[in-house]
Amino acid sequence: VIDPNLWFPPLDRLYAARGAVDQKRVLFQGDVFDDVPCYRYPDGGKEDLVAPRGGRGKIMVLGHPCEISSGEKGDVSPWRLVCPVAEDRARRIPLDGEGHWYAFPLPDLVEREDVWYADFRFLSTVHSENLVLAKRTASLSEVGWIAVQRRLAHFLTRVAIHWLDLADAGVALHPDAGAA
Amino acid sequence: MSPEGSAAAAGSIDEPPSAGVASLLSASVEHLQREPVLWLQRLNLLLDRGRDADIAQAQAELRLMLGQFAGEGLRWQLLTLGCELALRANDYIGAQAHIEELTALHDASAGSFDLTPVLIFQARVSWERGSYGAALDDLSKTNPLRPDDACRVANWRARSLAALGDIAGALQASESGRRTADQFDLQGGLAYSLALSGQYELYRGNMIRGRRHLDRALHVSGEAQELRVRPQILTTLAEVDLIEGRLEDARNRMSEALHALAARPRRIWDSAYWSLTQARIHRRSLDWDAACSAARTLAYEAGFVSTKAPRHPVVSALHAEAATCWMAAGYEHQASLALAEVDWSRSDWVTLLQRDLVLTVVSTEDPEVYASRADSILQRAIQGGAPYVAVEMAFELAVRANRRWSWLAADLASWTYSAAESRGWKRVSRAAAPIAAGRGGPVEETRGSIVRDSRGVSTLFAPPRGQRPARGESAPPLPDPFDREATS
Repeated sequence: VIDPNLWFPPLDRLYAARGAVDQKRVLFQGDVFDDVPCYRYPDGGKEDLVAPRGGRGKIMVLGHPCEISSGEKGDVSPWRLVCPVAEDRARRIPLDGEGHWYAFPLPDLVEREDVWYADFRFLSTVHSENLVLAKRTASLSEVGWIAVQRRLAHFLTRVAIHWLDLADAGVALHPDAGAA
Repeated sequence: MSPEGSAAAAGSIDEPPSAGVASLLSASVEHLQREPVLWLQRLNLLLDRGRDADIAQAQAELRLMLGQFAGEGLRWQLLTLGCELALRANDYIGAQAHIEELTALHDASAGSFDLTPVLIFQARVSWERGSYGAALDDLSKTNPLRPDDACRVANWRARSLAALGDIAGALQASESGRRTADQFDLQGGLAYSLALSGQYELYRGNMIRGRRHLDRALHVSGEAQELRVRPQILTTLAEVDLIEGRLEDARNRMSEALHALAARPRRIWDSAYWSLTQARIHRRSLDWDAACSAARTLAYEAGFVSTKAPRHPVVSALHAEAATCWMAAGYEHQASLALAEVDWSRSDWVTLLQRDLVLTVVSTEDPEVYASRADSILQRAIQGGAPYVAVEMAFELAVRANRRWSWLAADLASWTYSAAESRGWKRVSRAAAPIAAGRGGPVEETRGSIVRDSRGVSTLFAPPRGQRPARGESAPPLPDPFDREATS
């Protein structure tokens, strides 16, 4: 049972898969990919407001499953909403989620004991062809997915949605729903 | 603990000297006066052997040499050695005088001499006297030409940053020292950098990485006969065992550390550091008689170190740990006494957190104040980049609150449980679970409503705003992920 007031679930319930994620698993909200272009504007000073800064790196897919799934609206629009995933080298992400509201921590994402985070401040879009399933490095569990949705909704609205509301709204959507 | 080993010590201090060493140690004054290079070698040997009498003898002979030899090159070497000897003897005034002479010699020589070693000495003096900001300033002026100096600068920078509460910066610095040492095969510096990195990884909750660094440090120090840093490595490994709940392994490590202490030239605070870890083991073993006894030992050690290095950070660390032992054993009045009349202005960051924890427990009568102080301690630990320290302290605060305010204890334990679970620190989360269970059900937030249309699409209508008031952000923002300098 997850405390509905918690921002972050236990680490052992956060991920559905890490490392080499099965390529047959459907693309889903919260998936983390490597080597995807991600930019923000401008690069530096005020001289050129359209020169981008960024490059290829880790990103998290943020579009709702209905928007990105094949057979649904994902077939109509090839653009996918993503945000960069960065390493919290200084270990300053709050343990309880109170603060740094734009960040969703991803502990042990690459190696044990490292801490990465999805940074909602820098949302951008990429073409779906940039999301190569062979380069997907993590997929969230249903609990992890709900936690990401809750954090993202709070970042955009400042409303902390009840955990069970999100669970009800997304019932049967998650790839692992009903697997147990 | 001790300054990083720049040179391997000459084996056990009781080891019989080789024939060459013996002849140097027994050479006549007349012979040495004709051969200043040999005399310098003799002083270095005495430094390496490192007994109090050796250091005093070397200092006396150094003064003789300085009076007899005027050549700038030899004088530079003598003054440099004089700095090291003065620091070993905790003669900070003497060290400062040598540093000033070296600086004057450097200025007069139009830059013929490398000032970096002098600035490192200055930083060591500052650090050992509890002036960590000044130590950082001194190090920032260095421009190391030699890899061993670059490694020393990195390691002292790490220690200074850690003392000021920047654990991420400290780890970055010690890792920089490690890379330099690896690149240039500097075994002593490598062991020392690894020992520091291991310690900082523990603060961050990275036990596997911490142990990996420390195991390598132990191996390297054994291979290189680098005995000075070995007790520090072993006591830190004992701390890892303690964190992971392996008390017997921790005790065995402490026995090894004791043997290592006996086999090396000693600094005045070496056994104090050993006693600190030993006291923590007694506390974790719930052996209250031993904890009280340890508290007395720590107070004695603090008095002993204070005789020669009253501003060294270990002094207040000893008092803080002694107070923690008294508190854990239930003698809160004794804990208050242990904290009184201590000069905390020279304490390092972790010691100040520990002091504030004890103060919160032993001097707070109002649960709201207790909660507020606890929150402040935890935020400071997190902002310093030491999340595991925060979780451990939250657990301690929960345990201590449990006798008086079970609801507050349950809140703190619940925080501990959730935070530890979110990072996979199972030992702490399991320990906190029983206290957290007293919290009752979570405070229910307002539910929204789900509407499903005829096509089966679900829409959540969020509840009216007001479940959570808007909150400010006191912490500095996380770095821009696109800013390579900020994230590298």
